[in-house]
Amino acid sequence: MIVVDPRSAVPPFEQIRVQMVAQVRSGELAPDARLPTVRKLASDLRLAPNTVARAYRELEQSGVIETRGRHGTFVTPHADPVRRQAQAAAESFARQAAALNIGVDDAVRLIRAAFDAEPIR
Amino acid sequence: MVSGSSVLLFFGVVGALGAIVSLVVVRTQAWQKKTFLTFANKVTLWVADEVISAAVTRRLRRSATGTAVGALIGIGAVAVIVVMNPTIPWRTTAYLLAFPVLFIAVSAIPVALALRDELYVHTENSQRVARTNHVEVRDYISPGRFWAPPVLGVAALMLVALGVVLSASGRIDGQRFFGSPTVPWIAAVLVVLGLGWAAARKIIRGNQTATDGLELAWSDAMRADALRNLWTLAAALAWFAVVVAGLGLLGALEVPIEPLWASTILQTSATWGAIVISMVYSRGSAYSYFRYRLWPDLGDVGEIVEDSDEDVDDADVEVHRP
Repeated sequence: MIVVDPRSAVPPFEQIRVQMVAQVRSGELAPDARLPTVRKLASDLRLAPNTVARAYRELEQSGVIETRGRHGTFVTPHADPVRRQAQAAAESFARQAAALNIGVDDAVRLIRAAFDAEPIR
Repeated sequence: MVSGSSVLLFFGVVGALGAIVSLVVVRTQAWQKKTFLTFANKVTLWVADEVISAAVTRRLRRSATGTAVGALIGIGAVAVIVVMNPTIPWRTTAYLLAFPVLFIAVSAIPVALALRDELYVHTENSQRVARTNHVEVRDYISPGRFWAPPVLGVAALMLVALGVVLSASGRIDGQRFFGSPTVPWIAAVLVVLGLGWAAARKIIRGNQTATDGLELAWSDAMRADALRNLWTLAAALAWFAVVVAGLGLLGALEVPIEPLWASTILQTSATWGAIVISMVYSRGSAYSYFRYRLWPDLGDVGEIVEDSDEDVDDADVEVHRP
């Protein structure tokens, strides 16, 4: 469920975006879950369709949701935004390592060393 | 000996009187309160506040008024047709005309209300909620109830196809079969089923404005009730279509083998089938299926007040909002 407060200083599209990301991360919105259409969500929330469309567009750009043509809009199968960012970073690192002729084993060793040298948590 | 047309007239008059009485009764506070509590129990939503109970009571009252007005219109329509065609046999009138017309008439206005009415009236600055997952008709009607009308409709079509095959092979009198009301009647039923499906989709796509989850849950309850009405109508009409197709086949038999016996069984089964259908669509999880699909846990919108034996009669709907 999504809540929009028209008196909030946060614009409605941002309220929608933030809550949807939170729902995807918490699992309330499961991977591959179908979302309501822009028009339907806009009419239920008594907002302009453009407002909801903007929230959907931004969610799509950040890989949280995807549009499957006429079938509708769905939560991306691996839609955890943090995981997606980590995956993008790993892909970038893998590309750079390949360009430097570093093999998989060496690359993994480098990552492990980086984790050991600078614990993230 | 009481004639069949007298029986039909008797039921018509009793039905019209019942509808007029219910038009008066629905305006009383006692009826409205009792109906709301009964509905709350059926949909297993035991939580509400003044806004919700007022909105739901208003909708239930308007829906009951619509049903009574629809019944009057249906009885009037049947009466006009019977007066204009006094030679129609009363059994044909009852099974092919009165039942379907009445079913359609009493369902049409409540469904139209569900299509047009906004359940709640909100101010511009009030909080708004909406669900983030897509819902379908099947979220409101259990699988068995959902598939009953199409299965019965297909059965009726298969009987018509059987009639075509048998008349082509000379087993039945094709002219009598196609001259009977079977084919136009089933075509009309299919049109009504198509319109019903379109109305159901429109209900699902319609606005559901609410300020919190509980209001949304009650809105779902009203939506489920409108869809339940539509599916009851669809199942009853599809069942009548099966009976009409069967009667058409029996009437077209070249060598009648106890046709009266078989026809009587079919005509009786039409009535019993309608009774069974109305029970299937009004008992068990008919009203509350949506709760298990869409609201399995209402913890985030309020505490569920369990019903108890001692306070059923005088319990007002509890106000337990977070």
